[in-house]
Amino acid sequence: MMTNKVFILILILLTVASCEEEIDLVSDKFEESMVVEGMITNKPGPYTVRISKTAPVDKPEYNPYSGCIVIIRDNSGNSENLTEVSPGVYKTSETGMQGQTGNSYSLEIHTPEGKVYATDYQEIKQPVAIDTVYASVEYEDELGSNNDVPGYRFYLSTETANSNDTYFVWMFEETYEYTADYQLASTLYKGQWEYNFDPDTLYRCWRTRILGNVFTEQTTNLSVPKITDKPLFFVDNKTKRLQIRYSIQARQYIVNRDTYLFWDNIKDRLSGGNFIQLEQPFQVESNVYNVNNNEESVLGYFTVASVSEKRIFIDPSIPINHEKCFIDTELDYIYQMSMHEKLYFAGNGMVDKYCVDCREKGGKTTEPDFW
Amino acid sequence: MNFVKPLILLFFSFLLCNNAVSQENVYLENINDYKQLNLLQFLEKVNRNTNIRCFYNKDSIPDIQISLTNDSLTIYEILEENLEPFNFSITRNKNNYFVYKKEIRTQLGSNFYDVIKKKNRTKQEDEITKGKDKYLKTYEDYINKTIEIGEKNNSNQQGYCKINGMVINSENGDPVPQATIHVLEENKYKAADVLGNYGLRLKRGEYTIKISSIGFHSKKFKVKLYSGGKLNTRLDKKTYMLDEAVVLSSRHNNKRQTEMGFEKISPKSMKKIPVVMGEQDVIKVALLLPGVQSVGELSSGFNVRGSPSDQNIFYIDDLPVYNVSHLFGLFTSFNSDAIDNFSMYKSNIPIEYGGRLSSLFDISVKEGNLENFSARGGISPVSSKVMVEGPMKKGQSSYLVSGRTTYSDWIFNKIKNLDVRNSSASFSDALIKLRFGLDSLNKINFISYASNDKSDLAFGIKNQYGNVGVGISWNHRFNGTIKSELSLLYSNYNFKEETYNIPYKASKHSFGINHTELKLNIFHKYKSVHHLKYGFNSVLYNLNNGDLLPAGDESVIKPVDLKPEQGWKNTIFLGDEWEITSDFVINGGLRATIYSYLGPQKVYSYRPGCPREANYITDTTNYKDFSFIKNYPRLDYRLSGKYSLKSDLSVKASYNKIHQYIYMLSNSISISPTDKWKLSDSHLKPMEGHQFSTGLYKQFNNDIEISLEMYYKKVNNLVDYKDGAEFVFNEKPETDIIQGNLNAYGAELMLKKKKGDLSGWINYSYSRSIVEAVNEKRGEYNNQGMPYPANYDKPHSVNMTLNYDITRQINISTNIVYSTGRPVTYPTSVYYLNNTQITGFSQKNEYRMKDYFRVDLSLNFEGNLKKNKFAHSSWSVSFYNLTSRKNPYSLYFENQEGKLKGYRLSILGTIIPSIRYNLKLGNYDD
Repeated sequence: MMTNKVFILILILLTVASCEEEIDLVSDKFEESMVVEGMITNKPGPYTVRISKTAPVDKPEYNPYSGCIVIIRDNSGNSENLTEVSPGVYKTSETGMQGQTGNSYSLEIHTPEGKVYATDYQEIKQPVAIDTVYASVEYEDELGSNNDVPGYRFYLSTETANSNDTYFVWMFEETYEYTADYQLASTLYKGQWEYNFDPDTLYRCWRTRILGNVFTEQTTNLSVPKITDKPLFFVDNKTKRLQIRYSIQARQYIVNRDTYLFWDNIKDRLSGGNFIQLEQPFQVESNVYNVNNNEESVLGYFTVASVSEKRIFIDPSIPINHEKCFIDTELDYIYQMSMHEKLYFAGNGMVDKYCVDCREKGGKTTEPDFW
Repeated sequence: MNFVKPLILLFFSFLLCNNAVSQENVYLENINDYKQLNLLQFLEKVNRNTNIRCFYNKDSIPDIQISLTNDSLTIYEILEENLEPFNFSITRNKNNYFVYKKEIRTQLGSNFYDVIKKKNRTKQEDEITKGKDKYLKTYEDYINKTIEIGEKNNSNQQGYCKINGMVINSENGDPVPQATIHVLEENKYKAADVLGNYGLRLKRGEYTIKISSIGFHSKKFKVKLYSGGKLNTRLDKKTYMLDEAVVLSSRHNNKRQTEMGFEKISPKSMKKIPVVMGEQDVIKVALLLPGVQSVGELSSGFNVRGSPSDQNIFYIDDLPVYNVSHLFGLFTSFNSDAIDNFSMYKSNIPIEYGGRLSSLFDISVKEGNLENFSARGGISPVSSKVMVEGPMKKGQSSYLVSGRTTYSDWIFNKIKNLDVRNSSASFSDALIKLRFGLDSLNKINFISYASNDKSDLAFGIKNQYGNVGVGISWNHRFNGTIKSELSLLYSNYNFKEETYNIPYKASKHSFGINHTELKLNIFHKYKSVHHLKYGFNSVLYNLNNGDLLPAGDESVIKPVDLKPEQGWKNTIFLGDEWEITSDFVINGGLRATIYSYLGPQKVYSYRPGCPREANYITDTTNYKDFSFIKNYPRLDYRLSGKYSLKSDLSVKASYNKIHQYIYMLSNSISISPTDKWKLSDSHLKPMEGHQFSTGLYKQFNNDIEISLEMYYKKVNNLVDYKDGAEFVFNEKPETDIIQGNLNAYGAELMLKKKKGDLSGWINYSYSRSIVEAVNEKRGEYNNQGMPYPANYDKPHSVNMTLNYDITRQINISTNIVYSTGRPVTYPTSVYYLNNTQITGFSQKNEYRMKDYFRVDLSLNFEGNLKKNKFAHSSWSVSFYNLTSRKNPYSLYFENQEGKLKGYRLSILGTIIPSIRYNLKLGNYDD
């Protein structure tokens, strides 16, 4: 990887005399495969397994795989059949199987077509606690331009692990508080004005979502099995994430080597900075296999891990660099327009709905418990 | 003047002896008494002790020790052999021997030769000139002289006569290897061997013969052939060239020798080829030849006839160079000013070389000027370079020193990008060549080469890499037919890398490969139709896989000592080029090698039938220092033949089997400086390469050459890397390697115009290269066991290089390059994990990027072409990628708001102008 960075530099250098063009993606050789995403940890359940099918690149969509029988087994002979709670989403029951450190678990899937897939048994490793997660203000180059963009770079340090060969995988969930661009003054629908007397209702939101970024580390080449100040993702000031308050829930998974390698390869797929393909990309194969046909390509992973969590909050000190919505002050024909759609008004003119309704940007207006 | 005295003596002696006298062969008695003498003492002793009277000018006799190679030589032969390399002639008249420097001829009146001729020395086999020995024009090669060979009254009136000869560099007496001998009337071509020897078979009669070689003035003269004889010719190094167009390249042996897939290029031709950022570059020129490809603009390796880049080897003189790139492949690490020529072999590799399957790049460094001091230099936006040369002892020993350094840091600082601005990178290289002429038969060459690259990148990586090499070789000529080269060589490539962007895992790492070699090559001409080569070489490889050490106080990196490894390769070889008839030549050879993997080493055993993975280790064995862990005895073959259908049309075929015992650990598409080398060991078998090739060669008017070559290549035990392989800190590289097969085949069509105002070449190649990495026994495979095209598999490619001399001082040249896009692994599906879209990929290299196309242009302006001037300057303006076509370098894919987008990245995707200024002492062509 280090090697690649050397190249990337020289490539950046040459990018000055280079450029990138978008290309059309075609998937004339698309073959459908099964995708499994599941996890069992030492944290109390219920545990979820999602089963889906791949989609062609030009029609990207989530294709849930319904009607499978999904079983989690442990090494002492217990098992639980998962229930399909929504299409392609299979869940253990509240009172069902509980992951225990030191025990091993496997997954078994029977598809409606009668194919059987399984994983080998994997053990839940000893958990390692997160010591600190923190963020510091840094600047980053904006891809494609030469502006330096301010933001927060997150770092993480772990406690010392028990084993010299410890494999870490980190995933994150962010929550941030933000507002719509304007407070809603009134709406007009089918000629009816409605005035908003509580301007705060649709103005303030909290959004929680899983970050796509995955980070991995191994301690096999370290003298102390402890990770200190691992650089993580960067949150820039170009969106509303840093508007009011930002929080991150870090989840640290301790996994076996194979699982580490899987997520390590997925990490490379995910980091948008896979800017120059110096190594040929390749299909990252699953630990789920067709018991009758080893060669069938299966994607995704059934992760067996111990988990520790840590939440931190940031009250940003850098202003966001975000352009507010356009306010249309030409108000001709608004009555005619309101016959077809609801119109929103803020300040001295008309705006789009998302400018006054923060829920449009994915948030909820209720404050989370931990806030 | 030196020659006056012997001249007068000579003159009188001829007047005294009016009648033709047959020569007596006088042998030395008590030969051992003569052995320790120098030439002068020898002559004196001969005068004292024999009935021979030698006439000579004391001052002109070189101070060298006499060499008595063969007891049965006559005094005449001894003198001839010892003095001929110094431009002396020996003329006999009865027992009077006249020893004189040959320069006198041009100073003499024409009647002098008439006098000699009157002697009617029919038995004399030396060359005798008649008429005015005078150049018609300085720059024209025709010499108005007739040489008579053989006995006029020989009874063999109809049959063929055999002429043997040697082509010699007039400057230093060295043989001129592989010169071309052209008999105009018969349109018959002959090539001299590496010793400058050649043989011709012709009917009695009169012929015009032209002898030429790259870098020399050709000579043309008439020959009257009476019977067999000797025809030695001296060629003058080119010193003043006005009209003749630069020969862009010379596959000068195409028709005449068994060599196939061979190209030889002089720096003159390189100079005019447009280059990026004004840096002349041998490798960028090589990429314009058929069958040579690279993965993209920025790749330090390249691929010859479908082979991975670690199957090529570079020699600078005899020194192997393991990394030939500067700035990660942007430039080549040789200063082209110091290069005399470079040859590339991609089909039948000469028997004295082995160990790489695909190609051999032989870069010859100039020999320092024996007579005068000379210097040259150049400036471009990236670098400046200088080369000086001159005699240490006039006529005998010389030096050449060249250096190049960069000031590219300022370019980095100009760039707005934060990462680039805070980075720095620089490179330099240097070369020293010394030549010590001990005497006419012994010469010692010393060469030393070094290159260095340094970079400090803003994201926390410091990098340094370089080559160092030293070689000393002793060239000895036993007599006209045997020549030996004994060389001791040391070459080292090393890199250091320090990463400090993440304090807790900041680390330092280094790697080095040491190559120590002793070799003896003997070139032996036997009975004029056999050109034998035999010898041995012994290489000790010593790889320092280095330590991984923590850098800085915060680092918790565990120090790892990656153990060194050693291998020893011993080879004996014998090859022969046999001219069965002048139309039919075969060449065969054998190389017997024992490669041994040596201790100390820790060797892991893996459970049979299981993948080589850490979980399947069953045993660990520790081997002691210099213990033989594993021996691989291997036999390499060479077989090739040429048949001339007509004088200008020939067919050739060849088969090669070669083994390779060292390879590069790399899973990136192009070579990076931190790629390590790895020796064959107890797990990884030597790679075994077979290549069959055949070709058809046609020449028109000695100007246009057309050739068609076809090849099939198979490599067994090819080293292929598992997806996601990591080698830098891997103690067990075998766990990331699958040994598979490579199948490559193709055809190359080349048309070349060598002379005139318009010169250049155009070639088309069809080539395929398919990798299959399956180890059935262990259940290991890449790409699900399916064969896949290699990263550099580009089936169609067309290269055109043209040079047009507008005037004698201004010329314009252009490259036009087209090739099929390289294969890529392409996204075919998407799926979702962790709430995020992930890309699924096709089979390995199942798709291709769009085609590559580029046009370059350069204009060269030479200063005035006067012969006598103090310094000569030239300007060169070049435009790289004239059409600004955005050729894809790589594709990358990004998820943007739930939609997968693909981007094509182009490097140097716009026109890049550059200018270079060159200055040197002396005239245009020194």
